[in-house]
Amino acid sequence: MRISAKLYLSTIIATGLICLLTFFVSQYSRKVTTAQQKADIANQLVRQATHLNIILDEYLSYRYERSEQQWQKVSSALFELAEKLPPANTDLVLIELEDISSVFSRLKLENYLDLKLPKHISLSDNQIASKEVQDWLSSQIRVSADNILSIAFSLSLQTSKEIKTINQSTFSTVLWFSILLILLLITSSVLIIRGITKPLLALVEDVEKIRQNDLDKTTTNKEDSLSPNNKNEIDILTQAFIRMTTQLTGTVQSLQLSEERYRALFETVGVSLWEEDYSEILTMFEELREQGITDIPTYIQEHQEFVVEAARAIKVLDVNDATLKLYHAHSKEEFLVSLDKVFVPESYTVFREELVAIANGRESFESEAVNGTLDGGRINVLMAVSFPEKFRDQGKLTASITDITDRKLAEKELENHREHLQQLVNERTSELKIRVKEAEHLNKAMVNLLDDLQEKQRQLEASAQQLTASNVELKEFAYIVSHDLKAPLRAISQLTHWIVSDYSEAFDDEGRMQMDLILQRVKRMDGLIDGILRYSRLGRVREKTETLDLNLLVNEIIDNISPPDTVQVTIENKLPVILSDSIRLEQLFQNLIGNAIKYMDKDKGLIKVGCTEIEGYWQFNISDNGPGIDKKYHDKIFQIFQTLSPRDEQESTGIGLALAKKIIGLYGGSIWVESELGHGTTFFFNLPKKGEPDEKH
Amino acid sequence: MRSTKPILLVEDDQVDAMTVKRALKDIKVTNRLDIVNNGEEALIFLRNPENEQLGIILLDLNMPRMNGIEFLEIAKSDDDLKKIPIVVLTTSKEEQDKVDSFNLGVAGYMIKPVDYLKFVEVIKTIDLYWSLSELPD
Repeated sequence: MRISAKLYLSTIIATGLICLLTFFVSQYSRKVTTAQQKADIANQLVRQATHLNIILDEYLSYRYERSEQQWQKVSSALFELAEKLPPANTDLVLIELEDISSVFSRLKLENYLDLKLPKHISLSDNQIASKEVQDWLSSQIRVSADNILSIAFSLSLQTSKEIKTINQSTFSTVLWFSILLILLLITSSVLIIRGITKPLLALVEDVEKIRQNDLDKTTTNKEDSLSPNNKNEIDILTQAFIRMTTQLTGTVQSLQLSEERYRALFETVGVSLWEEDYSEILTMFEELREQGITDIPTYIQEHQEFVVEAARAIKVLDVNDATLKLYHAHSKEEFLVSLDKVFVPESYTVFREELVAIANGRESFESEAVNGTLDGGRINVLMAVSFPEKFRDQGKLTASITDITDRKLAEKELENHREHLQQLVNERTSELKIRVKEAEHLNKAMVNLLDDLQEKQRQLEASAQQLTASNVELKEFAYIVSHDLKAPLRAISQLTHWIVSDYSEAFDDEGRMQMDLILQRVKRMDGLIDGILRYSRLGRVREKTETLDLNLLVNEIIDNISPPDTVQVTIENKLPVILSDSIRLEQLFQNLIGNAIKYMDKDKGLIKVGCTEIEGYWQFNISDNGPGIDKKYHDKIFQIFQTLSPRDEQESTGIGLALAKKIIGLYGGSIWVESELGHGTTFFFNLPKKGEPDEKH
Repeated sequence: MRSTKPILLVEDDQVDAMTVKRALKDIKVTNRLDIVNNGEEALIFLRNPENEQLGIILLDLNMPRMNGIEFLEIAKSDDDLKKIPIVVLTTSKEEQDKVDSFNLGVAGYMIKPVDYLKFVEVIKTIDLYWSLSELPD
């Protein structure tokens, strides 16, 4: 900043000086002009005054009118001039001029009144033309004119003196100013140049040093040498330059570091890496193009000799340790000279593809290949070559080689296995085909079977529906039947009653007995109808299955029946707890126990209820010491409406056992009797277990 | 019966009707007994303003035209009629009939016994009960 400030400053000062100079010069010229004007006036004054004298003479001589006019003209001109004189001179001149005018007017008018004449002149009475007077008057005028002249001359002199001084002073001023100006110019130039050139030269030095990679030796490194307040443009540049060098140093360092890291990586990585130079190949391509060959890939495919030449043109710059290990080389030098052992004839095919890739402008190429090791062996490798577009100008590429020999072997084995497998598969397939055919036959048979089954099912469903329908019918039928059959019975019973009671006197014993018989028979019929209803209802009505403790159940039944004192009903052993419906089971036990009581013929009747556990069944037994049942009736007694004794002896519906058998049949069990005439009876029945809770305590 | 209000018997069977009549006589019930043969006639009778307010209705279930259950449905939805106590007197032991009757708010359900003497007992029991039980006016 300071440089520009300096420049501005010098410019301003210079401008200032020049202005001053101009001012002085203008002042001088003004003064000179004024002086010249004065001189001019003085000259004019002289001329006019002289002129005046001449005219006067002329007038005095000839008294021309013209002369008078001229005199007026000159006179007025003189007056005018007088006004233009400096004030000091003006008054003097004016006095003289007035004198002149007055004298002239006396002359003109010949007015000699009140005239102060000198001693030697006197007025005669003839005042008209005294030449002496006239001469004296005119001499007065001349004297005045002369005074004016001298005034004018002195003025003229004065002015020329003035001009001289002015000139001198102006000259000296200009001189001094010029000197100052020159000094100023010189000083500022020197200062500015010094302020610019020195640091610039330093920068130039540093640039040279950078060019030569001596970044540390730059002098502009010292940023602190500049005080922050004194910053001029060069300083700013310097600072920027310093920053740039610092950054550059950093960049260069990190680049170096990067390079080192890359080198380290290159050397130590486990994959074989090659650095190659293929710029010659690019040149070869260029030559082809110059020859006019545009389709290079095709050319490569067709010209094997080109491929061979190109292979030779590749320069291997560097390889890493992993490469040496892979190819069984002892040193880099050994390896680099033995490359022809590595690139066996089979490699050329792959190399051709690589060339095509390069020619096509690809950036990478990958392929499997066969290489040779330095000890004469062969390895299968996977090569991946990279030649990015960016680095094409340098002509460098990197290749990585991975040993896939093992993999290749494994692949081959896999292939063998696969073939073997394929063979097996084929064999099995043909076997399977045969089996499939058999299965199809079976399938057909099954389908037929299924159709049959479905048909049967349909039939079953139809039957089931029919059964349900007939069940419903039966239920309604049973209900209606019982109701409609019972109603007349009731009527008969009641009417008979009333006849007996209302007309008792008309009846004798025989009659009353007959009436009784009517009532008895009616009652029997009622019982039979109930029996039928009960029997038919069995199996239609679904009862609720619950857990029943048979001990409680049986005791309850015994209470309900309330056997007479002569009969004792006991439970032999602990009866199980079973899953069943209570109503049916009640009916069952009631029937059997009731029968035993009913048919008891002994004074001391003993009825025992017991239970044994058999595989999957509960077997119950109800035994009594009654009359016993003849063997030939052991089956018949279970038929409906069958009674052992005629109904007149034992009032019995004859359905008790039939009902019992039906109930047990519904549960999937069986009932039978063991008895002999005169030796008591035991009824057995078993009920299948239904997953009851374990009641064994 | 406590009150002297008449009894309505809804019964189609002649002999059953005679039985009720006779039974009532036997237990010396003197209230008037009116007999109708089915539900329809019962409703007509009940809605007839000339007829006295009833004390109790004895209702058979199995009747032609309108049976007992249907009658009950109508009677118990009628504000006036539902006040009258109804005792079902029937031969039906069907559970469903019992359920329906009690659902419709009958005051009792008695099975008609075949034996006349037992029948009289039943009527006597009804009489005893209704002699004790209070009725709204």
